[in-house]
Amino acid sequence: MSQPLDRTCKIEPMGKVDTAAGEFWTHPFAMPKQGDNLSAYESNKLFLNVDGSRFLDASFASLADIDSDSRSVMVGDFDGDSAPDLLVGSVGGGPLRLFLNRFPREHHRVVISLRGTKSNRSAIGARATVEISGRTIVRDLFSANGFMGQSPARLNVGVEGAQVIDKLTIRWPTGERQVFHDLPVDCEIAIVEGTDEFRLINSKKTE
Amino acid sequence: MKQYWVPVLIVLIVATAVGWWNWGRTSAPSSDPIPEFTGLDETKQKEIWDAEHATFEIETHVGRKLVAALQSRKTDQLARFFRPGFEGNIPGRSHPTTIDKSSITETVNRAESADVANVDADGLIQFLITGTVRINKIQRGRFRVLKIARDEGEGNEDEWRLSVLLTVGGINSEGRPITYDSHGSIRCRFTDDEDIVAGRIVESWEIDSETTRLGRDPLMEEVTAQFGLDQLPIIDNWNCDVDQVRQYRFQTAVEDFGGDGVPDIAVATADDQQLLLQWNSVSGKYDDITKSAGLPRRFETNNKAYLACWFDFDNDGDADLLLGETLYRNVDGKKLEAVADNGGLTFDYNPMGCVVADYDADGLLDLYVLYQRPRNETRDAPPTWVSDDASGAFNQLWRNRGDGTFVEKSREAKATGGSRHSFAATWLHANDDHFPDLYIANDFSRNSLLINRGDGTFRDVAEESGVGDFATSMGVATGDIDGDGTPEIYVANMYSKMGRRIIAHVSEADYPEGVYQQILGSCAGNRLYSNAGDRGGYRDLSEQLGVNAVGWAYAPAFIDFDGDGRLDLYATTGFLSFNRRKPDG
Repeated sequence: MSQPLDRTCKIEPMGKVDTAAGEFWTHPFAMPKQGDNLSAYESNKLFLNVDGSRFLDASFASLADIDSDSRSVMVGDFDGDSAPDLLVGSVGGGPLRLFLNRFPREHHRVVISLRGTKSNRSAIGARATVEISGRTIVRDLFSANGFMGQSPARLNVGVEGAQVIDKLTIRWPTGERQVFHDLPVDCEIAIVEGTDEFRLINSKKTE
Repeated sequence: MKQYWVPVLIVLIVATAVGWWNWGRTSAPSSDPIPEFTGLDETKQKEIWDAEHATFEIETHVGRKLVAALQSRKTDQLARFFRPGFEGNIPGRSHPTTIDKSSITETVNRAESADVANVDADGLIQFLITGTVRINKIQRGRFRVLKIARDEGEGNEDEWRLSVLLTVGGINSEGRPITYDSHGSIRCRFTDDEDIVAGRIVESWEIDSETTRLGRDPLMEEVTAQFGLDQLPIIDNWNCDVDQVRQYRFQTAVEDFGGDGVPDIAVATADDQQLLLQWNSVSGKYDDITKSAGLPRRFETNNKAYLACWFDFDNDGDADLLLGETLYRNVDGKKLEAVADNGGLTFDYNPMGCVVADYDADGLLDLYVLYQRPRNETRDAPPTWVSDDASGAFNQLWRNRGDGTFVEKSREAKATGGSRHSFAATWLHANDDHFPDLYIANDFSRNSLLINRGDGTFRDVAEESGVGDFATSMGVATGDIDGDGTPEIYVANMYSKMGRRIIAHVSEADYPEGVYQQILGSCAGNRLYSNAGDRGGYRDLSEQLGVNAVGWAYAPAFIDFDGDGRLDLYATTGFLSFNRRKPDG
């Protein structure tokens, strides 16, 4: 065991070690090499954003709170129902585990697919500003990679109870802006840079 | 987190530990700026040892039995922990704060309200039993000491002040998941370990808050086997010899390779294997199409490079792939064809990952590659403990020329990130312009926020912006969580209750300059930097928002799970688990 006592982090026990109850005293550098647990069986967390000023720990009810030494998480719609699912990468207990979104379907969503023409074709770096019933939601399009796992670049925007998007502003990676009004929800809206037309696409179920 | 039975502070120094282990005997030399430090004052060492030993004894001999007694609802067994004359304080239950969110109901009673009651031991026992009565079947519980300090006691006895967290979880009478947390302060009095084992040591318990959370239906469903992902040929730490265990085994990238609208999965492993998995709508499972797509099962690398990254670098509308260290062009969503001369891309030793954006807004996707250490230079000492800005490696910025080739621009662009140990990075729009900025999460040293100046160069504003704290970072995600239109930055760091306990016993004066801040950082927990709106000043709100204590954390991700227009969070954690029956460090 070690403490921040010197640069080698080494200290001898200064009292009786209660091994009968599982207490032990070793050097952390040696622990993994010896097959000793170090920050072991920690459960992944799922936090729900309540109102932007606090999160609710919903891990206990998620079934995605696995304790498998996870490293990466990739977000995507794996079953075609538009709700984002999780692919979790771990070094123990199964390398890739897929968790489908079973949240109550209380709200509406829209998937915004952008095709750049002057911008990069994937429109990575675009910003979508969605205005609904006096509320503004800003989402940036990147293929996130939190650590060792890249998610597809998608704009999957929850719009709560809104049945229509009052205004959608796309700021393309070139800096050009386009504005659209009165768009539907619960669908995929495909927009090509520089054209005022948009196309509606229905999602495809895989289950 | 589970089972921190070890009473001392591994986690304050784990970054160093891991780095050392990682480095083996093949790391770069670095100057050592730290004066010789022989250790903490011996009295201080003893104080920490005593407090951590007491914590261990209390959590084991009082905590476990208390949870067991609560589980069996045996009041007489609960009563055996309380001393004669016990005094308790409990919050009233008449004015709970309730949150309903995505089928979860959270009810909180806090001692702030006017109806706090003074109770004797029986009253406190009844409070705990009635608080947990809805948990029909208790499946797990922990009594944790969050802080501990000793006061002078009477006679031979010492008096200890503890901040404690009692958590109990299980299912209710309808089979729904339910948890109960109680935060509070306890005063204990005992002479030695035997007193603790005997149990009657608690002389007061003030409960600050109790929280009950009830779920309705599971929020996620695991379909790993159903989707054919349960038999992948990737080595698993839990099924291999100890000497084959790795901290990191593979990198993954998800994108629609075939154009059918369903995500496909590319994997490159540290054992030089690669995999391409494609959704098969007929079988309803993922097929291994590695060979049919034209990829060898094993890839060649002299650099320990197992990158995985999809990006349409040639702007032809399909996702191309960087896998291992080879750049492949997507051919009609069926084949992957190696790009001539790898498009000029060459990698240094052991890249940790890469992220994609068009940093110069020329319509072509560029590539930023992360490194944590140089290759093949020998040294015997571990990396320096205090801010290691010298022993890491420069990152690469590969600018896409648009002719199928890339050119490395990191120095010219002032985007190397310094000689730091970069683990993860995210592109984001940190300011109002359309040029993507870059946040880099580093182990051993401060993090970087590179603001894109729009002229092909970057400026690191981490320190002036307040997002560069040393915190042994290993992952990062960004997104606008408070709806103000500017993205927050969530950084995955290390956290342990043990570390938090011990840090309370030491101070800046106990160490050479700078060391305490870094020790503080290495048990900081995840940080959530929120831009206060003044364009440049960030504040850490992780504790206030309840997303600080995750564990030994890796990749996080922001996701709007429930479609309410607010980004939720999934955070991975856990270092190395070997045996559920062994204690944990």
